[in-house]
Formats: sequence, C-alpha cells, structure tokens
Amino acid sequence: MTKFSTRWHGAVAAAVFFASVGLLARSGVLLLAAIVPLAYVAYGTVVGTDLPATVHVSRHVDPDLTPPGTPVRVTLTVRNGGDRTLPDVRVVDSVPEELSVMRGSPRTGTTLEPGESTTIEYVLVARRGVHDFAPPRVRLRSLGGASVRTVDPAVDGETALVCRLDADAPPIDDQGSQFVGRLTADDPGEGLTFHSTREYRRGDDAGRIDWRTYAKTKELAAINYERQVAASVVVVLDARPISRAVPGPGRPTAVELSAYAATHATTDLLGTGHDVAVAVIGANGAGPSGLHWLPAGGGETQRRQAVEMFRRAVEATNQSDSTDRQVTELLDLAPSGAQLALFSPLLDDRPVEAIRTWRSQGYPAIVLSPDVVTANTVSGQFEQVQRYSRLARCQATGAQTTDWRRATPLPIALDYAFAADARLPNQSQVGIQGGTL
Amino acid sequence: MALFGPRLDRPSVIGDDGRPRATSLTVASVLVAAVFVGATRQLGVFQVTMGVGTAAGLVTAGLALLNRDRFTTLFIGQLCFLPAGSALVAGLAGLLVLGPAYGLFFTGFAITLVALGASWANADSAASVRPALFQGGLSYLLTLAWVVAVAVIAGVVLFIRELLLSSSAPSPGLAVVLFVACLFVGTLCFRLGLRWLPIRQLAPRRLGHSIDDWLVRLRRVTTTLLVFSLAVGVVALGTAFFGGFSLLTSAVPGVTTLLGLLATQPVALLLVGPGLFTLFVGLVALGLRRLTRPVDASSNRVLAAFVAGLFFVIGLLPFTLSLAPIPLSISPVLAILAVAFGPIGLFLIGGLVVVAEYATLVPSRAGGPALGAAGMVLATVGGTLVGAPSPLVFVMAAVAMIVWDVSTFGLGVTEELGHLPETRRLELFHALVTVGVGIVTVVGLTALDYVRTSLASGVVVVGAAALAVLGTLLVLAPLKGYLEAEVRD
Repeated sequence: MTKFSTRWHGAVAAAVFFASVGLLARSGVLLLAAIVPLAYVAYGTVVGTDLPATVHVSRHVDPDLTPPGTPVRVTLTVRNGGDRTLPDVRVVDSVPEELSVMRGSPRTGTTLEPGESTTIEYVLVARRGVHDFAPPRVRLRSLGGASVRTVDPAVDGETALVCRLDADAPPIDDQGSQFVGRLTADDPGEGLTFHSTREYRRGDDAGRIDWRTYAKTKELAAINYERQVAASVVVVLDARPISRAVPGPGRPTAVELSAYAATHATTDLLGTGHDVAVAVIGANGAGPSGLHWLPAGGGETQRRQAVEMFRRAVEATNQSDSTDRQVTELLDLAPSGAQLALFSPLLDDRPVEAIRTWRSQGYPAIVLSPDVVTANTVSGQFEQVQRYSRLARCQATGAQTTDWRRATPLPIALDYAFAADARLPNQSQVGIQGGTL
Repeated sequence: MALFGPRLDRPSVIGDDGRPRATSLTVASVLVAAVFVGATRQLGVFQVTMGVGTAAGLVTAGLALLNRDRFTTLFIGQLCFLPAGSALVAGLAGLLVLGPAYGLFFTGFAITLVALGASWANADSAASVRPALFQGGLSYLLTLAWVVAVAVIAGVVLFIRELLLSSSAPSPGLAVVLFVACLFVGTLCFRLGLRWLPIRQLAPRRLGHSIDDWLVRLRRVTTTLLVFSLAVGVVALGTAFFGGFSLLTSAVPGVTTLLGLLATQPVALLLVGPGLFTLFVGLVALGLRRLTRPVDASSNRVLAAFVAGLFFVIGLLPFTLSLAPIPLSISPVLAILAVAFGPIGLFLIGGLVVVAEYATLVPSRAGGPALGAAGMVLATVGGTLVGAPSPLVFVMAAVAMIVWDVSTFGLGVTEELGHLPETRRLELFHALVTVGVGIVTVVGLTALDYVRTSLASGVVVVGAAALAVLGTLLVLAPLKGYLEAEVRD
C-alpha cells in the first residue's frame, strides 16, 4: 500500500509568507522567492509516485542448527530485480522475538540501481527452540520522499534457526575411545600406565616382560598396568529458579547452558562406555523427593532419555520446595562408587552445600559452572567475586571445579572437568580424611 | 558522530527518538554556514558573523550541557547559556530597533544556527529547553542576589577599611560602633564556619557526647555575642546621635583614649581574623564534602547555578560593564539595561519555543529542523529588505527548504532504522537530489528575475508575479487530491 507524506505543509506556509511580505513590501524578488517552496512542494508531490515492488530477498543463517549460547550469523541480501533505480530502500529483518542481536544491525537503508544488491549481516545468540524468521519489511520511497510503499517480500534461503541441546553432540556410535572420563582402578590390569611388576608366569605376553629387571637380576618379571574400568556417573543439573539468570537480554539462561554442557558430557561418557544417571534438582519431577531422576544406564536409548529430561528441565516453570531433600536423596539413589557431576552457575551457596554433602559421603564430585555473571558493573563484579569464592569452596572439599567462561569452547571446558582420572581416588581421601565436612 | 571535538549529545539517547542522522545534518549545516558567510560578505557585514556564530554556538552548548547531571558540566553550561543567550537576544533586539532589515536578517540566521546546533546536540525539544530555561532563570535570580550580597559586603569592608586606615582617630562613638561591627562580622563568620567544620566527625568516639555539649554551648555563646553586638551597636548609634559620648568624654577624661583603642587595627584583626579563618576552613571542608559525595543531580543543579551566579557577579559583570560605552556609542545605562533584561528576553523566547511545541505549532520531534527552516525564511526576507542580490535571496529561500527537507529526511531515517546501520549513501543521494532541485529552481528564477528587471518593472510585474504564485498554490491543492485519489483507487 502506498501512502503520502505531509511534510511539505510548512513549505506552503513559507510560500504564502514570502508572497504576503512581497506584496506588502512591493518586492518582486520576494514574490519570485515564493516559487522556491512551491517548487519543492511540486517535487515532493509529483516526482516518482509510482513505486515498483521489484525487490528480491534471500537469507542465509549460519549455522541453522546450533546449541544454545553460540553466535549465529545471519546474512540478508536485498536485490533490485527491476529496471528502474529504487532511490530509497529501507529494510528491517524480522528477528525472532526470543533472540537478541549481539553484533551488527538487522536494518539498513540505501539506494539500489537495477540489478544492484545490498547485504546486511548481524549476529544472534542462539537460545533453545525453533525460531522462525518472518519475512523482512521493505519500505520504498519515491525520489521526493513523498510517497511510501511497504512490502513484505518472499524470502529465499533459510527461514528458521533450530537450537537444540544436542546439536553438536554426535551419535554415540561415532565416538571413539578418545574421550576423557575413563576411571582407573587400584587393581592392576590392561592399560598404558605403569602400575607394578610381578613374577613372570608362563603364557604372559612377551611385550609385558620387564627386560630392565631381567638385565639386573637375570629373573623374568612381568609389568602390570593400571586397569581402566567403566564407572557410573550421575549428571546433576541445577534447574532452580535462581539459576535461570541470563547475562543479557535475549541470551540463553544459565540452566540452558548447564543443560547444553550436561548433554555434551552425557554423550561423551556414554560413548566411552560409562553408565550415566541423570538428576535434575530445583524443579518438581516424578522421581523421589520431587527429583527428575533417570537411573544409571548406557546406550543410545539412555542418551535420548537424558536429553529429553534436560529439555524438560530447561522448560520447567515449577519450583521445588525441597531442594535440600533432593540433594540428600541423591546419595541414596546414586550407585555405589559413582561420580557426581554437578552443572550449576553457582549463583548462591546451595550448590556448595550439596557438594559438601556428597563429598562428606566419599563421592567423587565434579562441578562445571557456566559463567553468566556480567562484570561490567560494581554489583556484577561483586557477584563474580562471590561466585569465584564458591568455586574455591567447592574445590576445597576436593571436588574438581571448572569455570566455563563465555569465550571458552565447551569441549575444552569438559575436557578439563573430566580429565581428573588420577585425582579421583585422592578426591575420596580428601573428602573423608580431610574432616572438614 | 561529532564533526569535531567532544560530542555534546549523549549517544545513549540517539535512538529511535533522537536527532537526525549525521550525514543529513552535516549537509544542512554546511549549506547554512556557506550561505551565512557568503551573504554577510556580499552585504559587507561580515564582522558581525563571528559574533552571532559564536554566541549561537555557546547557547547551543549551554542548552546541551544544562541537561546533564554532573556539577562541572552544569557549571560550564551555565557559563555558556546565560551570558551568550542574553548577549545574543539583547544584541539582536538592539539591531531590530536600530536597523529592522538587518535585525531580521541576523535574527533569522541566529535562529537557524541555534536550531541546527541544538539538533546536533539532540537538545531541540521542549523537554531539553525547559530544564535549561529553569536553570538559567535560577542562576539569573541568584546573580541578582549575589549582586546585592557582594555590594553589601564590599560596602561594609570598604567602610571599615577607610575608618581603620584614616590618619585621624575616630570619635568615641564611631570607635564603639566599629568595634561591635567587627565583633558581629567575626562572630558571624565563626558561626558559619563552625556549621561546616567536621568537628564531631573527627573527634574520638568516646568524646562524642561532650563534643556535642561543647558545640551547643559554643553556638549559644556565639548567638549571644551576635545579639549583644547588634544591641550595643544600636545603643551606641543612639547614644552618639543624642550626644551621650560627648558627655561621657567630658565627665571621664581618659575614656577617649580607651575607646579609641577599640578601633585600632590589631583589635579589629583579633575580632575578625579567627572568624574569617574558621569560615575559610569550613568552606574548604564543605567543598571537599561536595566533591566526594555521589552525584546528586538536583543539588548539583542548584549548586551550579549558585556558583555561576557568584562567577557572573565577580568575574563577568565587571568585564561586561567595562565594555559598555564601546559598541555603537550606547550609553552605559542602555548596556546595563541589556545586561539586566537580556536574560528575561532569552527566557521569553525559550518559553515561546516550549509553548509552541506543546501547542503543536512546532513538530514535537522535528523542532530543530522546523526552527532552522523558519529562521532561514526570516533571513531571506531580511536579506531582501537590505537589498541583497536576487540570486542570493533565491539561494537563501532554497536553503530554507533544503534544511527542512534533509533534516526531516534524516530524522525519518533515524526513526525507522535507529542509529546503527550505515545509511550515508541513502542520505547523500537524497541530499544531492534536493540540492539539485534547489539549483535548478534558483537558476530558473534568476533568469526569470533578469527578464523581469530587464523588460519591465513596477507594480504590474509585482502584481503578475503575485497572481502567478496564488495560481500555483490553487493548482497544487487539487493535484495532490487527485494523486491521493489515484492511490486509493
């Protein structure tokens, strides 16, 4: 639809003023000067009132399938497909309401000659869900700027951004054995790391003979290596309302980021043969003490159920009144010797108390904390100091803590968090012998 | 984007409701500046250009800075806004009286310059003008109060100084009056200084109550002294009036020498010195407290006006009055009237702008462009009346339209797209077309005027031109209606 602008009414008034003063002062120059505003009125009214809607729009979303918190680059190209110059083209792309622009602008204004195109680029921060892009709004103006036409053209290319917790976690079958998280037992067995030596037995592999001992004592001895065993890991997601904080408008919540990290960790652990149990605290579930609880298991089915549980935790709106009971209940539910991995932004002291409780019972614990605190204000810096203090207090109990900064890729954070094989037995000792809990 | 130097606008407020885009405003500003300089050179009044331009720039800076919260910024805003605005208004009013045509010409340009400057600073709305007017009014009232206070203090000091330094010994009555005057001033200064000194805060906590009691007693003593000195002064004046001191000196021979000692410099210094020292230290403490206190916008505004008023009285007013006899042989009385009533004129004009915006006579968001264009229209009329060449008149009229067109266009772009996207090409293209229309119109009208002045002149041609203008106006109205009907169909 085309509209007319009324911004030249003032020019008509100026023309009347010039003409009136010219008549009063009997000035021919002023009377002629009255034509100047009228010329502009005519220019604005008559020139280019026919506005062809010959714009073609294409959009590219990269990547269009992504986990939460990752930047997504959107490129919108507008081309003048007609044979006339478009003097004034203003484009506003329809960014999905739930997302916010992190860099660039989804708007532009330019002139387009026939066949010419303009491109706008902006970066969004992904949040979990399927986000549809509506067609961009394109507004055309005539040369004089008096007539305006708004069109919603059809768009080529991507029209949606899909953000899933397991977007970059490949299927378990594709995983090798290169992942961290393998636990070592005290008993000797197959492996790579030296454990001890023993007397040679008939049938031992020649590769295990300790030739150095033979050279010294002329007696054959065989080498024992550290035995690697699969363990049970309980992935605990902190989904309490306080953990639903965001670092900025349109950014994913800390629960979303924790769920994303938990999804990745679960996939890795299952891929290396561990049994994984899942618990969600802070939201009312059907399990004991209101927990969302998935018993330990392995395989692709377990992974699917775990991801579904994380998804429900992200979407949960109810709040559990018995978080403390849920924390204690986990001690009964967790398999013996299991490792507890807590994913929490540590925005209050409850996760620290939970880690203390678990460590006091001798459970090895890991804390991975996504950083959602903005440090550009005094209160933000204060909150950040408190969070660092909580991480340190968790570490003091013997737990392995990892601060997942926003600029750090998740695989590196997970690699660090679970690369604690050798320390895990010591963790138990610290937790029990330290006597601080 | 600022053209140069620090920016006067606040980037955070240049959003959908901010000022027009920088490229459009640059085009408008460059054209106005070029025409202003060119026109004043052509008319031989170029020397006034710098004065009007500087004053307009200072008014704009003041408008922008008086919308801030920090003391330093507000103080500088006060220094810019009131003196420059008053001088501009008074100067233009004088020019309108002495030479109405030139007055109209420069008033138009001054309005345009201030409007464009205010648009740059995003201070062209009633919401921005109102606080500036309020604070300017406050500093004006405080300046008047400071004038009275400084005059009284200076008078008292000069009076005491004259008496103390005079070679002849004062009479007994005068000596007593002088003594109680010094006592009163010293006690008053001491009392004020005591009020601002952080004695209680610096004292040990264990002495808190005793310090409080001591301060209460000190206040009571100083109050008693103030009342006592006032009473003694009144009694001494009465006694001296009725000849009581003459009777006393004749009855008691040594009393003249004794009373004369009261009016000596050491005694005066002893009475006034401690009070002045306490007042000075108290003011330093007060100043330090003010500087270290968190920003409190409302108290900063009052304090800035207060300090600016003192600065005007001590620093600016004597300088201004010293220049009074110089310009155009204006008598000092007229200069003082200009200084006294210039600010009132400024507030009246500012108030008119605010009222015009509230009454929707000026577009609420496009106040700057509208006033800029209106100023250029006035300048065009003034230029015609002072006998500017016809091409220059047409150029000024065209620039009026260009200022309106590019500014409102830039404002529309800001409104629709915000301030982040790059739109320079779009704005330059629009400006180019608009300037092109102006050039074609000016060339055509110049040719037409040449024909008019060459072939015929006088009433007939003027009447014909008037008829042509009215005819065009009448034709445009149905044409616009026709186009709208076309679109509807």
